[in-house]
Amino acid sequence: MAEASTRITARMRQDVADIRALVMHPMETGNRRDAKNQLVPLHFIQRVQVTHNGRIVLDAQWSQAIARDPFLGIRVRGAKPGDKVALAWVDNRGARESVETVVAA
Amino acid sequence: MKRRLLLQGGSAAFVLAAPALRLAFAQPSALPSALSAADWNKAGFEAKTAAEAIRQLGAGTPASSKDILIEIQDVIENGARTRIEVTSRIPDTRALSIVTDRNPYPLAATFTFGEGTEPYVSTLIKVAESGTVRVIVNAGGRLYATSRDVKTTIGGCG
Repeated sequence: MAEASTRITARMRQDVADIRALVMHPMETGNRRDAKNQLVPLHFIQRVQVTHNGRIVLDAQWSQAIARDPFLGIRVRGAKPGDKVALAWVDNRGARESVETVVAA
Repeated sequence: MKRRLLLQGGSAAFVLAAPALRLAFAQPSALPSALSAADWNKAGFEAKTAAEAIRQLGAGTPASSKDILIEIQDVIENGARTRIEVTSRIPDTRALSIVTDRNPYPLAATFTFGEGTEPYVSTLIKVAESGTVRVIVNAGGRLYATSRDVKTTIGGCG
């Protein structure tokens, strides 16, 4: 995918996994005009899911009001180093991406 | 087999897209199931007033609560990229929504927490102009709300 890429980290902080993700995505509102004064079409991530060892820990619905190159931080109890954490998203054009990481100590 | 499930459950457009195939064939154990944009609160996100957006959350009128903490700048430096951190101290918090009254479409996002996930989220939002930012929490099927008034110097919905 040319326009998007996703990074995720998960690290233990005491007994909670601190999960942070950054997605490179334009998150266009549909109101912005380009250099030729043409409206740039609405283009944004609509759904995001985070799993911990395959279990859904966050299910999000987003609008175009999430900032360009979205950041997401959540905290999950009951995780331990080595556990698998994954994130997937889909945007309003049907583009999607998923990434996986392991929880660091 | 995974692919077949996708074909049955998702729209053909998603399945035929190359990234969808990559999702389907990547290690299935820990990956989220195929996401569908169908599970998206269209009426809520297309609402043009905060009141209508909140009505479209579908759980009645929120009660005011002091147990929802919103961390956001009082004077926002960059409306295109405004950090917001929300923590709910309300027991049995299942979901929270961010509603920015003066944005063209006030409902910014809804986050639904799985069991074991702290009722906390950190993200970056767009704030078009000075006004009220609300957080609506669904706890035990009832809504609770807290709001913060913010000022913007440079708006964020251009």
